[in-house]
Amino acid sequence: MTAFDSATLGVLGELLVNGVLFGSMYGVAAIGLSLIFGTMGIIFLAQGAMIVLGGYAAYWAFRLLGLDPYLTLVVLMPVSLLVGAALYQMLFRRAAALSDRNTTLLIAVGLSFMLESAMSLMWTPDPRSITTTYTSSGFEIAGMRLSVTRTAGFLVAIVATFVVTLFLRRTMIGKAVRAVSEDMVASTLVGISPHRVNMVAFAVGIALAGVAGCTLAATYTIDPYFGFLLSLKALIALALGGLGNVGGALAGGILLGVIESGSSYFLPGWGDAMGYAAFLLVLLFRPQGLFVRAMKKV
Amino acid sequence: MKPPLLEVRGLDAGYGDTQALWDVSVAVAEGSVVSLVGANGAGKSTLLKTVSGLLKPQRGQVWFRGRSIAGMAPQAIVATGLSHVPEGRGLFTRMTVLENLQLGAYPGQVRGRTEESLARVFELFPRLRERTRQQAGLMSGGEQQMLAIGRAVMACPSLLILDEPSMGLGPLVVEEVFGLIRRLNDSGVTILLVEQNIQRALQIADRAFVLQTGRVVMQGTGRELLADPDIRKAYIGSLG
Repeated sequence: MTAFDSATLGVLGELLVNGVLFGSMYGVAAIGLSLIFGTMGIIFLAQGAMIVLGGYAAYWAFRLLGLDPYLTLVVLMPVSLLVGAALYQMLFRRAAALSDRNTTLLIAVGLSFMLESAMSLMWTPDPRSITTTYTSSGFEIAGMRLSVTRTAGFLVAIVATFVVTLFLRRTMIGKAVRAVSEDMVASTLVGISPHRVNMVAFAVGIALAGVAGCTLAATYTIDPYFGFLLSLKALIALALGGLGNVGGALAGGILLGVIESGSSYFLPGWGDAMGYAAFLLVLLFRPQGLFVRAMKKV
Repeated sequence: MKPPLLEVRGLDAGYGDTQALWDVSVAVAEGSVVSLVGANGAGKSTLLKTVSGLLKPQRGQVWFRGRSIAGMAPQAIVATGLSHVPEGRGLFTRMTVLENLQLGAYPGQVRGRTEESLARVFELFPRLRERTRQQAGLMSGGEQQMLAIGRAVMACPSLLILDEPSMGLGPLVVEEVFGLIRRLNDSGVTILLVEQNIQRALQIADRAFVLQTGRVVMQGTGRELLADPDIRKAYIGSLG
C-alpha cells in the first residue's frame, strides 16, 4: 500500500517536473510573442513556424555537419536576430505604419502557412528528430528520473529570460521597447523611432524562436506542420502569464506545460484540450493574466 | 528684427477629413511665454500636435529656429530642440521615474548630456530626486506632471510646449506648476502653453492668441487680453 503511494507520488513528481521543463519552451516562445505584441500590436502567429524553422536548422546542422544542437543554438541566435530584422524590413515595415493592424496580422498568417508549405516541400512532411549520444539519457534527482535534453532546454529558457529581462531594463533601446509598448505617441515625442524599436523587438522575438527551435529539436520530433500548434501554445502561455511581463510569460509557459502533462496522466489524450480550457477560463475571469499585479492608479 | 523662434503661417490641419484649423498664424518670440486660449474644441491641442509633428499639416508652414519642420516626424522634431508635453502627460507609467527621465534624453544629440540634464531636472524638481526608483504611475498627479515636464527638459529644448499642465490638479499644485513654468522660462526656455485656466494662462503670458472654432480671432499681450471686456465675458466671467 505504502509502496504504491510512494510510486504514485514519484510519478506525479516526474509529471510535474517534466511539465515544468517542457513548458519553459512555451515560455520562451511566449516572451517572443509578448515583445512583438507590445511594439507592433499583433499576435505574431508565425512564431511557431519560425520555431520549427529553427528546429530544422538544428536538425540539418546535426545531420549534415554533425553539430551538436546546443552549439547550433549559439550560432543560430545572431543569425536569427538578423533574419528577424530582415523579415521586419521586407514584410512588416510598411504594414506596421498603418493604423489598421489586420494587414500586419494577415501577413503573419501568410508567412506562417508559406513557411509550412515550403518546409514540407523541401524537407518532406516526415517527422525528424536529433539523436545524439545523450538524447535518451537521464539522471536521477530525489528519486525522479530527469531527461538531459529537457533539463538543458529548461536551463536555456531560464538564461534566455534573464538575458531578455536585462536587455529590457538596462539598455536604452530595451527601455525604448518598453516605452513603445506602453505609449507609442509619447514615445515618438521623446524622440524614439517606432520602426527602429519594432525592428529590434521583432528581431529579438525571432531570436527567441530560434532558441526555442533548437531546444525543441533536441528534445522532441518536429514536422513542418507543428508550428501553428506551437503558436497557439505560446499564445495560451502569454494569456496565462499576462502581456508585457517577461517573467510572467515564462511562468505562463511553465504552467501550461504542467497542465498538459498533468492532464495527459489523469485524462489521457486530453492534454491539449485542457490547455485550451485553461486559456478560455483565464480570458473569461482574469484577462490581465495570472501573474500580473493590478496597478493602482493614483 | 530677430525672427521668432517658432512661426506658424497659414496653417490648415485636422484629423482625416475633418479640418480643425483654418489659416492659423502664430509667432513665438525667443525667451517668451505664449499662451493659446479658447474653448474646448477650438483647436488648441490640434495646433500643438501639428507643431510637434503628431499631425501633418494640410496646408501652411511651420518654422522653428529658421528651419521648416512642417511634415517632419515627431521623433525628428524633438531632436531639433522642441519638446511637447502632451495632454494627459504621456508618462511611461510602468517605468521608474529615472527611466522616464533617461528616455527624455533619447535623441542622439542630447543623450551624451544625460547626467548634466538629470542634475538640472533634480535642481528644478527636488522631489523627483528622492523618487528615482519609484514607478511613475504610482505618484500623485502633481508629481506626475512635474515628471512629464522634467522628462521634456531632459531633451534640452529651446521651446517647451505644454498642453494643459494644470489638468486634474488641486489649486495649490497648480500654483506650483505655474511657478515652475516661470522658473523654466527665467532659465531661458521659451514656453508655448495651452491652458483651461484662462486667467492663469493670461497672467503668465507675454503674448497670447485666442482660438475660436479653429481660427485665431484675437491676439495681444497677456495683460491686454486680461483687460479685454469680451474676453472677460466669454472666458473668465463665468469663472468669477
